[in-house]
Amino acid sequence: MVANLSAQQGNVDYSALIKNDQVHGRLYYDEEIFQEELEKIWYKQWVYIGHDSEVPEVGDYVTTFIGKQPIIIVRDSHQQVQVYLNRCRHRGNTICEKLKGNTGGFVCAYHGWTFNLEGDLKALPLAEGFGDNFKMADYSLVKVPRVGNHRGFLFASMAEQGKSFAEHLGLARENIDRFCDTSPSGKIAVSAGVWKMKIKANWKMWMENSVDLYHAISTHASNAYMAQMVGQKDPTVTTKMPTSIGQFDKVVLRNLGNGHTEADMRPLRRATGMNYTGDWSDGISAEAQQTFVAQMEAFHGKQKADDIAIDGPPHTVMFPNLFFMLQDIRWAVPVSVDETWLYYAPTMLVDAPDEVNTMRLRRDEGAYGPAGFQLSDDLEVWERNYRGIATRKEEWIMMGRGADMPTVPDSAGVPTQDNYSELTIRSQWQHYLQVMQGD
Amino acid sequence: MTFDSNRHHQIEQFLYHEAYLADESQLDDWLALWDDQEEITYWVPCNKDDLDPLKEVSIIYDNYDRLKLRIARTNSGLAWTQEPKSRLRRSISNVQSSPMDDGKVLAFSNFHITELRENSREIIDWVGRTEHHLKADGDSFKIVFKKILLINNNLEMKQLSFLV
Repeated sequence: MVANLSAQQGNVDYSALIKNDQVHGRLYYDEEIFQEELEKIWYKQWVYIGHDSEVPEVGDYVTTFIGKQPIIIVRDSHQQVQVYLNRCRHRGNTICEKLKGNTGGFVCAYHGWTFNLEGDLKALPLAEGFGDNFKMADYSLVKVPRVGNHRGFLFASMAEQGKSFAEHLGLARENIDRFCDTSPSGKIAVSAGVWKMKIKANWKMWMENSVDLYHAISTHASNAYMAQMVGQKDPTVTTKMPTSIGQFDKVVLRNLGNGHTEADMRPLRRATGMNYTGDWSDGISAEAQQTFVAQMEAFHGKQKADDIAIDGPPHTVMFPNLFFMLQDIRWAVPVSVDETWLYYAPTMLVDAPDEVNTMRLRRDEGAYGPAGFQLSDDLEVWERNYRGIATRKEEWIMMGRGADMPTVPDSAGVPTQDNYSELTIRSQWQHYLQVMQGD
Repeated sequence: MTFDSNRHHQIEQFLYHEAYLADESQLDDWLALWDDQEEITYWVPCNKDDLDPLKEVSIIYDNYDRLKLRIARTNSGLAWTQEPKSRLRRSISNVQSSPMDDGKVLAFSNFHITELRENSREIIDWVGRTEHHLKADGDSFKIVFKKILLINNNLEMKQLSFLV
């Protein structure tokens, strides 16, 4: 029997598995579909890989993955960020084993092939034995074919050609801008470390949940309980929770195209008046707040600074794996059909008063990370989501909230719904369908 | 400088008692071991053992108010990650104690916690080293500082939803 060396393609009829308001459970548990996702999404589309502030100095590197493929993000001698496959050009070994660090180059442990930060093969033992035709220049580290950088956010595509980076960003570009513009320098930094979690669940369950407002009522019921406790039951406890479920029905769900979706918090925040000089500023001294506001006005101008203070950062998921929420950026790596690694990083506002950034950390630690009051319940709920779809008598998963409501274009022409609509999840799946059908 | 064996024994017994209350989910009694008179710190660093908590993120960096909330949440019946409750057993060992300049007790110990998650049938090992700062309180102690160094604090982990 001849071994089938390539993944079988085209056996799955995706249009039969994805309807407007429901999807089939097979999309989450089928190993064949996961392999096809690697080829058609993770190794072809633009995916988020990291932020250039993680490698601020020459020689700084982090190792991560595109899908299952190990990569190195490194700042080279010319201050340029390079993204290499973490693979020796000789026998294929990984050449960088640490999560992060600073180095002058990469040495393969197996046979000692040595590469500089520009990826050039600079030395190898007994080079003459490879013959006259051997040229070291032919054995540089392999660069990931396409890398895009928007305001430090690094995206990569393993495909030589395809949709341009600008096309991929599309309307989500403005969301990245809004996120960075919450900083008084226009710059954020992933300099405070990264929470790392793993779940026994398919990656799409994380992606869907990240723009699912509806879940907050139940999944995060303990937060409402704590808010009530803080507000009423126990006056000795003074910590305020940053969330209030009550007015979330004001949030507008937007389909930004390309599978990117937003839960637009601006109407909620305008209604509640939460901002950096009000409810969200507990524990930041008046002096630091004044400094921050003055910095924001100096950098952005008064009107824009006022708008940013009220509107806050976006709540947006860029397909397939980058999520902006509050102070955080979050991203996912699919390990297997039933395992996903999650990375959540509180971002620091470059040049902001230290107090402001410290308060971002303390606020985030309350809610997020593996022990956070919100995320630990999300982590649990995603695994229950995965365990439940093992049933075969009933396989359809419903996402029909708002499916019978009109979709209204907003002033930017973006299709929207409100009232906890699952428009965002449906939009992700419609894009997924296009991509898996070969778009 | 170290304590005499009697004092060291008292310190060990206190650490074992604390571990027992946490294993048994007697969290209000566990909280009562903490000093509520001064600014306490319950700290699980993230990514590395030594970090500046003003500039870098931690897995947990609780003051007394937040620790109290953490326990209230865990007991609320609404913290789904602890419904059903994890079954826990931990061993505390390698205890080293010494006096601090301000009269408090500095204690280092290793721990190995086995967490059994009933609904997922998972058994998770949590291993690390703890630094306690204890204040004498009659025949016993109050905790004013507890820093927990998980050996996997720089890697992908499951939810940490019990009191470590």
